[in-house]
Amino acid sequence: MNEETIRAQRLVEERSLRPKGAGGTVERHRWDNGLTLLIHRDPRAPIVAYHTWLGVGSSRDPRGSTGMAHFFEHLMFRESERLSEGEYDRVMEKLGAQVNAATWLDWTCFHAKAPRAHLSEIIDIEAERLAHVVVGSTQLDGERKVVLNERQMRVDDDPDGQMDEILWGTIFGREHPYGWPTLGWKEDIENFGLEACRAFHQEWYAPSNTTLVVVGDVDPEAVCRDVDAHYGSMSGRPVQHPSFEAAPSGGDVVELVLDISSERVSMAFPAPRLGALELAGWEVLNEILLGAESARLERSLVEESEAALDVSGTVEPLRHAGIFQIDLTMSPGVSAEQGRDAVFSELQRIAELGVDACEIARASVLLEASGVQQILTAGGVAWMLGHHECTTGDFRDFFRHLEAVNSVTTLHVQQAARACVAHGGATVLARVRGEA
Amino acid sequence: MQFRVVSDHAAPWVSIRVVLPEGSLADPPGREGQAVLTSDALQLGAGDRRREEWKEALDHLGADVDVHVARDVTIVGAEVLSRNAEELFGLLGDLIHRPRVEAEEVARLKRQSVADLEQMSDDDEGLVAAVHSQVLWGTHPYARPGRGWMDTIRSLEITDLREFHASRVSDGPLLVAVAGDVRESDVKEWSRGAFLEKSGTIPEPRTLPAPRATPGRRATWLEKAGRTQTQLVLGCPTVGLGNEDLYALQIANSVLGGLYTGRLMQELRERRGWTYGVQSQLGVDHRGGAFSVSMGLDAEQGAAGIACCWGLIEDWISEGITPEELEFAQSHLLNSFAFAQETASQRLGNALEIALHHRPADWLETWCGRIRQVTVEDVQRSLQTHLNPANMTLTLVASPSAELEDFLKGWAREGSLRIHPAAEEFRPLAQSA
Repeated sequence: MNEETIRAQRLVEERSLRPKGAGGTVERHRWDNGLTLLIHRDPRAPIVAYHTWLGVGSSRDPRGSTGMAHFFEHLMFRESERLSEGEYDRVMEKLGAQVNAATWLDWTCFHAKAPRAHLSEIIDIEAERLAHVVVGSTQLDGERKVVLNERQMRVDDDPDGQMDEILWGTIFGREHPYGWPTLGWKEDIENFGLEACRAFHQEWYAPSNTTLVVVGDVDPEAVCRDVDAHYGSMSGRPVQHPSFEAAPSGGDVVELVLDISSERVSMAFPAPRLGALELAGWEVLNEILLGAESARLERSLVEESEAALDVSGTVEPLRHAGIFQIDLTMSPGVSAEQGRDAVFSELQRIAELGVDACEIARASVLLEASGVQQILTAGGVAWMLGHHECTTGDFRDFFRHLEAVNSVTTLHVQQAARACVAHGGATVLARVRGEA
Repeated sequence: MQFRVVSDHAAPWVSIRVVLPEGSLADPPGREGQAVLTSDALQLGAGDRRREEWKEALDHLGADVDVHVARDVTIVGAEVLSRNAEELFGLLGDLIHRPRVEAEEVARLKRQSVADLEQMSDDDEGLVAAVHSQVLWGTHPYARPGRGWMDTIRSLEITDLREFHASRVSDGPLLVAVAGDVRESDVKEWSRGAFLEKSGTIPEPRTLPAPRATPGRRATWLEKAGRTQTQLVLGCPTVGLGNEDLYALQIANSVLGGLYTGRLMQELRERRGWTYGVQSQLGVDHRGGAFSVSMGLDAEQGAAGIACCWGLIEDWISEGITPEELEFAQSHLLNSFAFAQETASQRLGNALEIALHHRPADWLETWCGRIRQVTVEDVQRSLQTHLNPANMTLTLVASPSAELEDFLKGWAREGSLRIHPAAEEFRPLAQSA
């Protein structure tokens, strides 16, 4: 085992984000086969969070097989060589574990939380399914119906889901790896083939594409021994991550008609990737425009003009690019265009005039509070470590980002707003069925 | 004023729960929504600060404040960086004792609340849950929605809100509960500086009849065109906290649909692939509770899916569970008990549960022992005593379907199936009568 322990990086910065009694270090270990293990000891409660992060998400779906990464996330719960159909869930629930998984554009994460006493059993069962999942027609056909149901629930019967799908396809283009839905197009899900699934597993489910994260009341040395025993002998193979350009064009507007009570708007602008220091300026812009209680668009659109019922914004940083997404639900009788125009007006104002220092100060403290909230639980710490390690290659980017937020100036916010205005974004306008 | 403080200095974070007397059950008939609207109004400026200044002050602290109106109490909840906790107590004191409640703000709040109810119709899952709650409880006060109906919200005046605040809120908190990076002595000092002293203990909740199941099976169908899924909730009232059979019912619920490995998920998702998710749950308070199953079902399997689900429920009630299922559920519940105390906030939540629901002080300490003692016979007797397949309520959002209609007519029997066509204005959210 090649061991690389980063003892200098502490979960605590001077703002003391870390659990004080936890020793405060994150250890990173790497094996010859490429496996990465992060351990953070946190003795606050007799539990452990165990995350398995795969560096593959829907952006690696094969052409014509959109949704494959998400579909494979489902298959991982069904059967392995040693675990019969459904046995994984039976074993984990009997241990009291809470398990789930998530797939996004760049990654797939399998996460479990369990009493610490059962950590060895969890390492055993997670290694087993990672290496020996069974992919047969029985598993495919059974899970295909479930995933189609998930798509119905999250997209077909959900106005927000429909709008998101069109927005991302518009800002990136439907052929761009970030432009198709993580759930996949219905016709692709219906046509997943056995060989394509097996090839996907062979290509991406490798130790060199895997980061394990263990957070909780654990003995790091014992964890290393257990992980070595169960994962160390897995054969290593290189995984290629071809880069792709995110060069979306701007100004596109798509209209659609939905079963909704009032019009809605979703807008997206290109933003920096995860790990880029300038990302902090975009997050502060989001807080000033939409995120804070006193945010400009909340005040002008919801409270003063009552043109909108709800406004929200998200900065979604990815491995190769990012998105700044804005969603508005208009008041009955108010057009979606009015909301879109208000967003552009405010962006233009910030681009030209900047923002007040007190607005930046409020945004910074809100983002600091959000950062602390994200690491209050073992699962939260594991998520932040795994997400950054898997996406940028270095978990320390989480802490660098928190520091960068403190250094944001009005110029940084202006630059973000100018980039939005210059690009023009992508816009989805949703009309009310029967009124369009 | 009572205090519960869970000090934990692991993170620079403080969670605050200020418990005020009375909740939505205090709304007089015809003024449903009064408590919730009042609580919303409290957050629109207080003391010397108008709305904009109030929100800027909260943002300046990095604080998140929310007022939750439960049935019997109102809880002002706040989360904040610990270095700003003392200052936040001052703001919370203003919120509770010196809210501005201005006419223009209240008028806007009313318009927004009505519009929010209209928006509820856009979300099938939320819609079916809200309507089911009203249908399930029938004439019991629990059927009256805390957020009100559109017509009762419109009829509320600013004087109603001021009156509610003066009579129910302004006396001060019953209980201040705080968890996190804070000392008990500081909490007491800050509270006494911010809040008026209210003496006495948490009163017994107002007396109401125990909720009971309405005889017969009833189905309420909200039609929506073009749905790819049928969203449904099926259930009935059952026993409340304090009834010893709840431990057996909790285990029974795990076996049916409280766990992924439960019978519902295994049959409807894993074997048939008709749903992405189906779960059962017991939602209980000190007066009573509700057993419910909720599911989003492939619309093409609407009738067959509900029939399958219903068959599993009937078998479960009549046959109970197997010894293997009992042992599995006990193992899960006992092992996962560790999660209930992971964070300071969760430990505080447990203390509040004891205080507000008048649970025994040793409730948590004895919980594992009581789960261990449950037998297969206890489960079967409890199911048959407290759940009756003849008295069930089904609420669904689904597209028109002759097959589904035929099934529901048979299930609910004559006269107990109500269909609300999509074109009809949706009255359950609009109007109290």
